[in-house]
Amino acid sequence: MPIQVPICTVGSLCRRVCRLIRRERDFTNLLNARGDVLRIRFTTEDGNVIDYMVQYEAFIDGEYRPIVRSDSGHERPHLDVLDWNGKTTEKRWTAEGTTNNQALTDAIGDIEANWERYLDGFLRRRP
Amino acid sequence: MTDYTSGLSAAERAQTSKNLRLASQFIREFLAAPERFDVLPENATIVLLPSDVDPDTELTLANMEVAKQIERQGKKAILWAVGMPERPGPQVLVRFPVFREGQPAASYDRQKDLLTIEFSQTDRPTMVVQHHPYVTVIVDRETHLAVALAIPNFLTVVAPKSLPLFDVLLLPSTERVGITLNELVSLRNNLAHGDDRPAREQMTVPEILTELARLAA
Repeated sequence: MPIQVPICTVGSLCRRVCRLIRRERDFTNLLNARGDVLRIRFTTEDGNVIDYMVQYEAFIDGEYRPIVRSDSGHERPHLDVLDWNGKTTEKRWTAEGTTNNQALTDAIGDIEANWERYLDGFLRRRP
Repeated sequence: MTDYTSGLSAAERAQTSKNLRLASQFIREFLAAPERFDVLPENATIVLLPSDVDPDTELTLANMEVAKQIERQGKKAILWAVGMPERPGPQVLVRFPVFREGQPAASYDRQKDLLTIEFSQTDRPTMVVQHHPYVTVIVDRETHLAVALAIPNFLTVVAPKSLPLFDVLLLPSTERVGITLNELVSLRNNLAHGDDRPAREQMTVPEILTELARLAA
Protein backbone atom coordinates (compact mmCIF):
# COMPACT_ATOMS: atom_id res chain seq x y z
CA MET A 1 0.00 0.00 0.00
CA PRO A 2 1.72 3.25 -1.06
CA ILE A 3 2.08 6.00 1.49
CA GLN A 4 -0.41 8.76 0.79
CA VAL A 5 1.17 12.12 1.48
CA PRO A 6 -0.46 15.38 0.45
CA ILE A 7 1.43 17.89 -1.67
CA CYS A 8 3.71 19.97 0.55
CA THR A 9 2.19 23.06 2.01
CA VAL A 10 3.96 24.16 5.15
CA GLY A 11 5.99 22.55 7.85
CA SER A 12 9.48 21.15 7.84
CA LEU A 13 8.35 17.57 8.48
CA CYS A 14 5.99 17.65 5.50
CA ARG A 15 8.73 19.01 3.26
CA ARG A 16 11.14 16.34 4.42
CA VAL A 17 8.70 13.51 3.75
CA CYS A 18 7.71 14.82 0.36
CA ARG A 19 11.31 15.21 -0.71
CA LEU A 20 11.73 11.51 -0.07
CA ILE A 21 8.97 10.51 -2.43
CA ARG A 22 9.11 13.35 -4.97
CA ARG A 23 11.47 12.74 -7.83
CA GLU A 24 12.37 14.84 -10.84
CA ARG A 25 13.55 12.99 -13.92
CA ASP A 26 14.96 14.36 -17.11
CA PHE A 27 15.76 12.22 -20.15
CA THR A 28 16.88 13.00 -23.67
CA ASN A 29 16.04 10.26 -26.15
CA LEU A 30 18.07 10.33 -29.35
CA LEU A 31 15.91 9.61 -32.38
CA ASN A 32 18.23 9.47 -35.38
CA ALA A 33 21.73 10.16 -36.64
CA ARG A 34 20.79 13.76 -37.46
CA GLY A 35 20.62 14.41 -33.74
CA ASP A 36 16.86 14.87 -33.37
CA VAL A 37 15.72 14.27 -29.81
CA LEU A 38 12.70 13.77 -27.65
CA ARG A 39 13.21 15.52 -24.31
CA ILE A 40 11.14 14.24 -21.44
CA ARG A 41 11.09 15.97 -18.07
CA PHE A 42 8.68 15.11 -15.30
CA THR A 43 8.23 15.03 -11.57
CA THR A 44 6.62 12.12 -9.80
CA GLU A 45 5.30 12.03 -6.30
CA ASP A 46 4.25 8.75 -4.82
CA GLY A 47 4.26 7.25 -8.32
CA ASN A 48 2.07 9.94 -9.85
CA VAL A 49 3.24 12.48 -12.39
CA ILE A 50 2.63 15.91 -10.88
CA ASP A 51 4.09 17.88 -13.76
CA TYR A 52 5.74 17.07 -17.06
CA MET A 53 7.14 18.47 -20.29
CA VAL A 54 7.75 16.53 -23.50
CA GLN A 55 9.39 18.26 -26.44
CA TYR A 56 10.29 16.95 -29.88
CA GLU A 57 13.28 18.85 -31.26
CA ALA A 58 14.92 18.64 -34.66
CA PHE A 59 18.60 19.47 -35.09
CA ILE A 60 18.50 21.98 -37.93
CA ASP A 61 21.33 24.24 -39.09
CA GLY A 62 23.39 23.38 -36.03
CA GLU A 63 20.64 24.20 -33.53
CA TYR A 64 17.99 22.29 -31.68
CA ARG A 65 14.60 23.61 -32.84
CA PRO A 66 11.54 22.73 -30.74
CA ILE A 67 8.86 21.45 -33.10
CA VAL A 68 6.12 20.46 -30.68
CA ARG A 69 5.82 20.58 -26.92
CA SER A 70 3.35 19.17 -24.46
CA ASP A 71 3.28 20.08 -20.79
CA SER A 72 1.07 19.84 -17.77
CA GLY A 73 0.61 23.62 -17.73
CA HIS A 74 -1.07 25.71 -15.08
CA GLU A 75 -4.62 24.64 -15.84
CA ARG A 76 -4.53 21.34 -17.63
CA PRO A 77 -2.20 19.47 -19.96
CA HIS A 78 -1.94 20.72 -23.50
CA LEU A 79 0.14 20.37 -26.64
CA ASP A 80 1.65 23.29 -28.57
CA VAL A 81 2.81 23.10 -32.17
CA LEU A 82 5.59 25.67 -32.49
CA ASP A 83 7.04 27.94 -35.14
CA TRP A 84 10.65 29.00 -35.72
CA ASN A 85 10.46 31.62 -32.98
CA GLY A 86 9.10 29.16 -30.47
CA LYS A 87 5.63 30.70 -30.66
CA THR A 88 2.54 28.50 -30.63
CA THR A 89 0.81 28.04 -33.96
CA GLU A 90 -1.64 25.43 -32.76
CA LYS A 91 -2.73 24.50 -29.25
CA ARG A 92 -4.63 21.40 -28.24
CA TRP A 93 -5.99 20.78 -24.76
CA THR A 94 -6.38 17.33 -23.31
CA ALA A 95 -9.81 16.18 -22.27
CA GLU A 96 -10.93 17.42 -18.89
CA GLY A 97 -10.10 15.00 -16.12
CA THR A 98 -7.07 13.51 -17.90
CA THR A 99 -4.39 12.65 -15.38
CA ASN A 100 -0.84 13.83 -15.91
CA ASN A 101 0.27 10.18 -16.18
CA GLN A 102 -2.14 9.65 -19.05
CA ALA A 103 -1.39 13.04 -20.60
CA LEU A 104 2.34 12.31 -20.59
CA THR A 105 1.96 8.94 -22.32
CA ASP A 106 -0.67 10.37 -24.70
CA ALA A 107 1.65 13.25 -25.62
CA ILE A 108 4.45 10.90 -26.61
CA GLY A 109 1.93 8.77 -28.50
CA ASP A 110 0.71 11.87 -30.34
CA ILE A 111 4.25 12.84 -31.31
CA GLU A 112 4.90 9.26 -32.42
CA ALA A 113 1.81 9.37 -34.65
CA ASN A 114 2.18 12.90 -36.03
CA TRP A 115 5.86 13.87 -35.87
CA GLU A 116 6.28 13.88 -39.66
CA ARG A 117 3.35 16.26 -40.09
CA TYR A 118 4.69 18.51 -37.32
CA LEU A 119 8.20 18.51 -38.81
CA ASP A 120 7.06 19.07 -42.39
CA GLY A 121 4.81 21.94 -41.25
CA PHE A 122 7.67 23.44 -39.27
CA LEU A 123 9.99 23.29 -42.27
CA ARG A 124 7.33 24.86 -44.50
CA ARG A 125 7.04 27.78 -42.07
CA ARG A 126 10.77 28.37 -42.24
CA PRO A 127 11.31 32.14 -42.59
CA MET B 1 24.77 15.63 -37.82
CA THR B 2 23.57 16.96 -41.17
CA ASP B 3 21.23 19.78 -42.09
CA TYR B 4 17.66 19.52 -43.21
CA THR B 5 17.93 21.06 -46.64
CA SER B 6 17.41 17.67 -48.28
CA GLY B 7 14.84 16.47 -45.73
CA LEU B 8 14.95 13.14 -43.95
CA SER B 9 15.67 9.97 -45.87
CA ALA B 10 13.22 7.09 -45.76
CA ALA B 11 15.60 5.22 -43.45
CA GLU B 12 15.86 8.20 -41.08
CA ARG B 13 12.09 8.57 -41.02
CA ALA B 14 11.71 4.89 -40.22
CA GLN B 15 14.35 5.12 -37.47
CA THR B 16 12.68 8.19 -35.96
CA SER B 17 9.24 6.59 -35.99
CA LYS B 18 10.52 3.41 -34.39
CA ASN B 19 12.45 5.31 -31.74
CA LEU B 20 9.40 7.36 -30.83
CA ARG B 21 7.51 4.10 -30.44
CA LEU B 22 10.28 2.88 -28.14
CA ALA B 23 10.14 6.18 -26.22
CA SER B 24 6.42 5.67 -25.73
CA GLN B 25 7.05 2.19 -24.37
CA PHE B 26 9.96 3.46 -22.25
CA ILE B 27 7.79 6.00 -20.44
CA ARG B 28 5.01 3.46 -19.86
CA GLU B 29 7.54 1.07 -18.33
CA PHE B 30 8.97 3.87 -16.22
CA LEU B 31 5.59 4.85 -14.81
CA ALA B 32 4.75 1.20 -14.11
CA ALA B 33 7.95 0.52 -12.15
CA PRO B 34 9.97 3.71 -11.56
CA GLU B 35 12.37 2.01 -9.14
CA ARG B 36 13.81 -0.01 -12.05
CA PHE B 37 15.04 3.25 -13.54
CA ASP B 38 16.85 4.55 -10.47
CA VAL B 39 20.15 3.55 -12.02
CA LEU B 40 19.71 6.04 -14.82
CA PRO B 41 21.60 9.23 -13.98
CA GLU B 42 19.91 12.61 -13.98
CA ASN B 43 19.80 14.35 -17.36
CA ALA B 44 20.71 11.10 -19.08
CA THR B 45 21.03 10.98 -22.83
CA ILE B 46 19.50 7.68 -23.83
CA VAL B 47 19.61 5.60 -26.96
CA LEU B 48 16.77 3.12 -26.81
CA LEU B 49 17.08 -0.39 -28.18
CA PRO B 50 14.34 -2.83 -29.10
CA SER B 51 14.02 -5.81 -26.82
CA ASP B 52 15.41 -9.25 -27.53
CA VAL B 53 11.83 -10.51 -27.39
CA ASP B 54 10.81 -8.42 -30.39
CA PRO B 55 14.15 -7.93 -32.14
CA ASP B 56 14.77 -5.37 -34.85
CA THR B 57 18.36 -5.82 -35.94
CA GLU B 58 18.28 -2.93 -38.39
CA LEU B 59 17.10 -0.49 -35.70
CA THR B 60 19.54 -1.88 -33.15
CA LEU B 61 22.50 -1.38 -35.47
CA ALA B 62 21.32 2.08 -36.54
CA ASN B 63 20.89 3.13 -32.91
CA MET B 64 24.26 1.71 -31.94
CA GLU B 65 25.73 3.94 -34.64
CA VAL B 66 23.94 6.91 -33.09
CA ALA B 67 25.46 5.99 -29.71
CA LYS B 68 28.93 5.74 -31.23
CA GLN B 69 28.44 9.11 -32.89
CA ILE B 70 27.58 10.64 -29.53
CA GLU B 71 30.63 9.04 -27.94
CA ARG B 72 32.84 10.41 -30.70
CA GLN B 73 31.58 13.87 -29.75
CA GLY B 74 32.87 13.23 -26.25
CA LYS B 75 29.40 12.80 -24.74
CA LYS B 76 27.97 9.82 -22.94
CA ALA B 77 24.94 7.96 -24.17
CA ILE B 78 23.24 5.20 -22.26
CA LEU B 79 21.84 2.26 -24.17
CA TRP B 80 18.59 1.07 -22.71
CA ALA B 81 16.58 -1.86 -24.04
CA VAL B 82 12.84 -1.43 -23.63
CA GLY B 83 10.33 -4.23 -23.37
CA MET B 84 12.75 -6.54 -21.63
CA PRO B 85 11.16 -9.17 -19.43
CA GLU B 86 12.63 -9.65 -15.99
CA ARG B 87 15.43 -12.08 -16.57
CA PRO B 88 18.23 -13.52 -14.51
CA GLY B 89 21.08 -11.16 -14.99
CA PRO B 90 23.20 -10.16 -17.93
CA GLN B 91 25.36 -13.26 -17.96
CA VAL B 92 24.58 -14.02 -21.59
CA LEU B 93 27.09 -11.35 -22.47
CA VAL B 94 29.83 -12.58 -20.17
CA ARG B 95 32.67 -14.41 -21.87
CA PHE B 96 36.01 -14.35 -20.09
CA PRO B 97 36.00 -13.38 -16.42
CA VAL B 98 39.13 -11.71 -15.14
CA PHE B 99 40.59 -13.18 -12.00
CA ARG B 100 43.00 -11.76 -9.50
CA GLU B 101 44.43 -14.25 -7.04
CA GLY B 102 41.83 -16.77 -8.18
CA GLN B 103 38.90 -14.46 -7.45
CA PRO B 104 36.82 -12.16 -9.63
CA ALA B 105 38.50 -8.83 -10.26
CA ALA B 106 36.36 -6.30 -8.46
CA SER B 107 36.94 -2.75 -7.39
CA TYR B 108 34.85 -0.45 -5.24
CA ASP B 109 34.95 3.34 -5.12
CA ARG B 110 33.28 4.73 -2.00
CA GLN B 111 32.94 8.28 -3.30
CA LYS B 112 31.11 7.09 -6.42
CA ASP B 113 29.48 4.25 -4.47
CA LEU B 114 30.27 2.08 -7.47
CA LEU B 115 31.26 -1.58 -7.57
CA THR B 116 32.89 -2.78 -10.77
CA ILE B 117 33.46 -6.42 -11.64
CA GLU B 118 35.74 -6.88 -14.61
CA PHE B 119 35.44 -9.58 -17.22
CA SER B 120 38.01 -8.33 -19.64
CA GLN B 121 40.88 -5.92 -19.29
CA THR B 122 40.88 -3.55 -22.21
CA ASP B 123 41.83 -0.01 -23.05
CA ARG B 124 39.42 0.02 -25.96
CA PRO B 125 36.48 2.42 -25.92
CA THR B 126 33.45 1.13 -24.07
CA MET B 127 29.86 2.11 -23.57
CA VAL B 128 27.20 1.42 -21.01
CA VAL B 129 24.23 -0.90 -21.53
CA GLN B 130 21.41 -1.05 -19.03
CA HIS B 131 19.53 -4.35 -19.04
CA HIS B 132 19.05 -4.89 -15.37
CA PRO B 133 17.48 -2.98 -12.49
CA TYR B 134 20.70 -2.72 -10.52
CA VAL B 135 23.49 -3.49 -12.89
CA THR B 136 24.94 -1.76 -15.91
CA VAL B 137 27.07 -3.70 -18.36
CA ILE B 138 30.17 -2.06 -19.79
CA VAL B 139 30.44 -3.19 -23.39
CA ASP B 140 33.28 -3.01 -25.88
CA ARG B 141 32.01 -0.61 -28.55
CA GLU B 142 33.44 -2.58 -31.44
CA THR B 143 32.93 -6.20 -30.44
CA HIS B 144 29.86 -5.64 -28.23
CA LEU B 145 31.35 -8.02 -25.67
CA ALA B 146 30.82 -7.29 -22.00
CA VAL B 147 34.02 -6.17 -20.34
CA ALA B 148 32.63 -5.40 -16.89
CA LEU B 149 29.59 -5.16 -14.70
CA ALA B 150 29.11 -1.89 -12.87
CA ILE B 151 26.76 -1.60 -9.91
CA PRO B 152 26.04 2.00 -8.95
CA ASN B 153 24.53 2.91 -5.58
CA PHE B 154 26.14 -0.25 -4.28
CA LEU B 155 26.33 0.45 -0.56
CA THR B 156 23.22 2.59 -0.45
CA VAL B 157 20.84 0.43 -2.51
CA VAL B 158 22.20 -2.96 -3.53
CA ALA B 159 24.32 -4.21 -0.62
CA PRO B 160 21.52 -3.90 1.95
CA LYS B 161 19.55 -6.34 -0.21
CA SER B 162 22.33 -8.92 -0.47
CA LEU B 163 24.91 -9.82 2.12
CA PRO B 164 26.63 -12.37 -0.17
CA LEU B 165 27.11 -9.64 -2.75
CA PHE B 166 28.28 -7.26 -0.06
CA ASP B 167 30.97 -9.79 0.73
CA VAL B 168 32.52 -9.18 -2.68
CA LEU B 169 33.84 -6.00 -1.03
CA LEU B 170 35.62 -8.08 1.58
CA LEU B 171 37.47 -10.38 -0.81
CA PRO B 172 41.25 -10.01 -0.66
CA SER B 173 41.31 -9.47 -4.41
CA THR B 174 38.88 -6.54 -4.33
CA GLU B 175 40.40 -3.11 -4.72
CA ARG B 176 38.87 -0.62 -2.28
CA VAL B 177 39.10 3.11 -2.79
CA GLY B 178 38.00 5.56 -0.11
CA ILE B 179 37.00 2.95 2.44
CA THR B 180 38.95 0.49 4.57
CA LEU B 181 38.38 -3.19 5.10
CA ASN B 182 37.62 -2.56 8.78
CA GLU B 183 34.98 0.03 7.92
CA LEU B 184 33.38 -2.43 5.52
CA VAL B 185 33.38 -5.25 8.06
CA SER B 186 31.69 -2.92 10.54
CA LEU B 187 29.09 -1.87 7.97
CA ARG B 188 28.52 -5.45 6.99
CA ASN B 189 27.92 -6.54 10.55
CA ASN B 190 25.49 -3.66 11.02
CA LEU B 191 23.59 -4.79 7.94
CA ALA B 192 23.57 -8.33 9.29
CA HIS B 193 21.90 -7.01 12.45
CA GLY B 194 24.53 -8.47 14.70
CA ASP B 195 24.89 -11.70 12.78
CA ASP B 196 28.61 -11.29 12.21
CA ARG B 197 29.09 -14.33 10.04
CA PRO B 198 32.58 -14.49 8.64
CA ALA B 199 32.87 -13.22 5.10
CA ARG B 200 33.00 -15.81 2.37
CA GLU B 201 36.53 -16.60 1.28
CA GLN B 202 35.48 -17.30 -2.29
CA MET B 203 32.77 -15.61 -4.33
CA THR B 204 32.78 -17.00 -7.83
CA VAL B 205 31.47 -15.24 -10.90
CA PRO B 206 28.53 -17.66 -11.24
CA GLU B 207 27.67 -17.01 -7.60
CA ILE B 208 27.79 -13.27 -8.16
CA LEU B 209 25.56 -13.57 -11.22
CA THR B 210 23.17 -15.86 -9.39
CA GLU B 211 22.96 -13.31 -6.61
CA LEU B 212 22.31 -10.51 -9.08
CA ALA B 213 19.58 -12.61 -10.67
CA ARG B 214 18.03 -13.15 -7.25
CA LEU B 215 18.10 -9.40 -6.67
CA ALA B 216 16.37 -8.77 -9.97
CA ALA B 217 13.62 -11.27 -9.30
